[in-house]
Amino acid sequence: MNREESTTNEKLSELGLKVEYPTPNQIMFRSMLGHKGFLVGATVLIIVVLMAVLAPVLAPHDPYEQNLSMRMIPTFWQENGSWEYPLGTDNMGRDYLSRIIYGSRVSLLIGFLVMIIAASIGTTLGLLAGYFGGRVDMVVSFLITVRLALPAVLVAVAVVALIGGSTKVVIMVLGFLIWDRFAVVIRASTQQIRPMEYVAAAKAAGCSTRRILIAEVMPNLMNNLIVVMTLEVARAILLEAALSFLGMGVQPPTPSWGLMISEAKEFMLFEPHLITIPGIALFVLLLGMNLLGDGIRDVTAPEGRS
Amino acid sequence: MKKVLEVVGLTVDLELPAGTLQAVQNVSFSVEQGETLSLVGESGCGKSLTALAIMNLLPPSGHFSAAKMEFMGESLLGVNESGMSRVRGNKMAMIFQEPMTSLNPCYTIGNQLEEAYLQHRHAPDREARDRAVYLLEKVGITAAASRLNQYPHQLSGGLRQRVMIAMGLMCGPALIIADEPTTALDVTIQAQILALLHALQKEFNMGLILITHDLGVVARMADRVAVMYCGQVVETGLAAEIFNNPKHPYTRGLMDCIPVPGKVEPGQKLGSIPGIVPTPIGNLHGCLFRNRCQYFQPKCAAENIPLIEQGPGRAVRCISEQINT
Amino acid sequence: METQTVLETRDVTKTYMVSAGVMKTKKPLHAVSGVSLSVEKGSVLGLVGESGCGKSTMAKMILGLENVTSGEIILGGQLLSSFSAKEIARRVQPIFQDPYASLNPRKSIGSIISLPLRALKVGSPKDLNRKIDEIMEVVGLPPRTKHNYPNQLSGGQRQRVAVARALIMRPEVVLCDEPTSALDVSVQAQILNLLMDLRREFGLTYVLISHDLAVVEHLATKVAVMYLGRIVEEAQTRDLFKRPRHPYTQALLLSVLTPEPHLGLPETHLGIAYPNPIDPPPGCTFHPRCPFAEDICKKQAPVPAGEGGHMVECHFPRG
Repeated sequence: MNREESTTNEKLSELGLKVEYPTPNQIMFRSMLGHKGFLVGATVLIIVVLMAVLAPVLAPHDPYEQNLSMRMIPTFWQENGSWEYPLGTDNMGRDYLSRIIYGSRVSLLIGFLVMIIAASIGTTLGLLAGYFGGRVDMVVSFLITVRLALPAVLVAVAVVALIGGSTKVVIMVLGFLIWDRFAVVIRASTQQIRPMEYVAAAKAAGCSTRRILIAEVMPNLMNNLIVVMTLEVARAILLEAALSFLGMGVQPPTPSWGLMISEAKEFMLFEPHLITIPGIALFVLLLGMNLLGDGIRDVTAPEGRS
Repeated sequence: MKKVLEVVGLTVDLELPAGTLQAVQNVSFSVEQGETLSLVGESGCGKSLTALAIMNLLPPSGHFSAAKMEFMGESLLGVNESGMSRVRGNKMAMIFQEPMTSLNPCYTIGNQLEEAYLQHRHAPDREARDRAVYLLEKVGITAAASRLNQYPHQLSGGLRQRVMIAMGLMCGPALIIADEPTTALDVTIQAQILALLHALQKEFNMGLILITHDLGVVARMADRVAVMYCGQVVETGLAAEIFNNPKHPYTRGLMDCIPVPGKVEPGQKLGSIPGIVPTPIGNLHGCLFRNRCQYFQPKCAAENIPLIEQGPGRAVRCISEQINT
Repeated sequence: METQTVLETRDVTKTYMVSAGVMKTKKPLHAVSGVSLSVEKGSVLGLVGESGCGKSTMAKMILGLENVTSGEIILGGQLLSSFSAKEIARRVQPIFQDPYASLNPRKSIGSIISLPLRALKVGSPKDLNRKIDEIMEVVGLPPRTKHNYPNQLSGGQRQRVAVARALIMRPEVVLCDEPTSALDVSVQAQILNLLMDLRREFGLTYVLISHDLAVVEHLATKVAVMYLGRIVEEAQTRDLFKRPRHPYTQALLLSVLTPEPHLGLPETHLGIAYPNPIDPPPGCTFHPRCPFAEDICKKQAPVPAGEGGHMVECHFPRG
């Protein structure tokens, strides 16, 4: 009457029938493959990442190379367009397609670096507040409230105005500004995990608080954390674009989509493609990131119990 | 005695990542006016899903079908959502296990009590309020009128369950389905709540389906019993008969397992049923209890085992000669 | 045969300060008031009571997860407060009630079971696998399941994992907090039998906390009944069940619904008042629900009395 197991997951049930009991990760993986939003978002992200990584190979020209005799060439589908400059050139004669391709690097790089800084700050604060409660929670909640009272863009603008704009400054400023959602979500999740008996059991087994936080609590936070990470990357990318648009972010001649939109402002009525193309690129990337984040949330939310 | 509910051939399937779970397989039973039928079994036997299927409250991954499902003589099959909502809370009431979460913390007790009455009877507020007070007193809550304005968190678990019972009674139901109504309560409170339920049932001549895993509760409360295992009914009969002379090996095994003060000598082991409940997924055939049964024979695996009549109202799903003497 | 007192609590009290309202000052909640217990090596002490009686708080204090407000807990002759958390962990291990919540869903079974060994740095990493396999055999789990995750196991199997985790360190005292309350009857019997076997085989000492008197009667050698933070009756198991003296104990026993259909439903005469630890009644805390309460019960708290190892705290003990 003993159950036999062929592999870890597939078992011969007590009646000799093959039943599969998937692991939590397997359940998640399968839902991922069935979730349309997730798949679309993941595809978009992969395409953009590939675009960024393979930029030197994909871009037909050097994005910085100015050729004043080739200014304002229209796109290939317009009159006088050509395949040599598929998306035309801007007012400095730089190939637009190449600038779009290289612009993805700026967006992704800044987006992810900002997210990592914000995640580190926010997760640490949220963990401590959620786990220890009491005074620690009071202090962290106060910090969150203060942070939420500050409008991110204005603070960023002010800081940049003080110390000048550059990619590095943008990353640091945004990273230290947008940790609030991490802190709030992680704090709430930790508060839910704290009273679980396996935490008490770990404590009773002699685990130090540090060990409990890292080895017992964190793994159960990962689902929520990844969702927030994806959504915050999108937020960071958009903020960077906004700052660059205002001239407070990445400095010319760096190809940033936000900067490209800004530079194309004055030509909006006559050469609308100069402003719409980077706009569309931004939109697609952000849409993809948000779909991905929502998809991860849907997929990881109902964790399978047998 | 009029039949309040008659169910024939109820089947419930659940779609799970691991496959289609045949949670309830071809289950039949009936409840008469003034009678308590107990569906008893351990977790996973399908008793709760049976109740949800009757009320058409299955989760989205669940589907049910039945040859016959008649409530007060009218068929419930194919009734749409608005038709069902006229039945639920009106003539058919359900009491859930968790009094902590069954009541909405945002609304007062009075509000929640009157809601069903106002919804189904379209009566004036005054009438609903009077009925609420009447029923709160019936369930043993003192100072009923002032309680109407209290919120759920201000009451203890036992009181909340009494409120739940009162809520169920608001529209004078013909049938109450109680799903583990006292499992979450303290032992001393449990006895009181069960006595209350019993008294109310007799007074209002209602049918009661009592779903539980606790054989002690069944013994003391039920008139008739249906023992469920792995989605099937394995034994039915009068409560007295089943407890005095359990026939199905599972029922016998359960009786052996229960710790009763004074039953075994200290240091002696409790009877137990070896193995664990199988998951009813896949091509099920034969007796589903066979991997844990001491009377197992090869034929138990081969054919599907029918419910064999052993007398009026008594049936056992077992083909072993030793059981069917 | 010498009997060693492995665990002792002397007049232990635990008071929490809870808020009574938005603008009001905090009120004291006496979760445990003056509890004195002793547990001999190899015995099983059953702590029985319903919600609000303080048994869970006692469990936390014995495990060292909470500090006592006053009184002492003595483990193996030494004050519990003098031990570090790790030293307590080597000596006292818990088995919790909820087999779903007591195992980390993100960890494999092997990792869960070996956690005490790894946290306390006992044994070498090579030994780890061997010890895990050993204990899994002992509790009746196939060693191959150590790569599985909790959601792939049944409730009974998860509880066996919890037992394995508790016993892998061979602790002096195993604190079982409602170990079978969340399990099906047939599984409960398996786990109870397992606990009995293990106790015999390893000479373990249990503190068994439960609201289920039948379970306690089966496993425990001595029983203490708790009500609103105090021990109202304490006796050897046989004595308590044969001759319960406190009205609460009697009501508890009466409320145990045995599968005897002819007995019908018990009438405990307890009334619908419920124990509120924040606002305990004056005098004997049980008097609002006691069918035998008299005037003195409302004014004066009873003192523990009794003979022959059978203690009762009541002005008018029955029997």
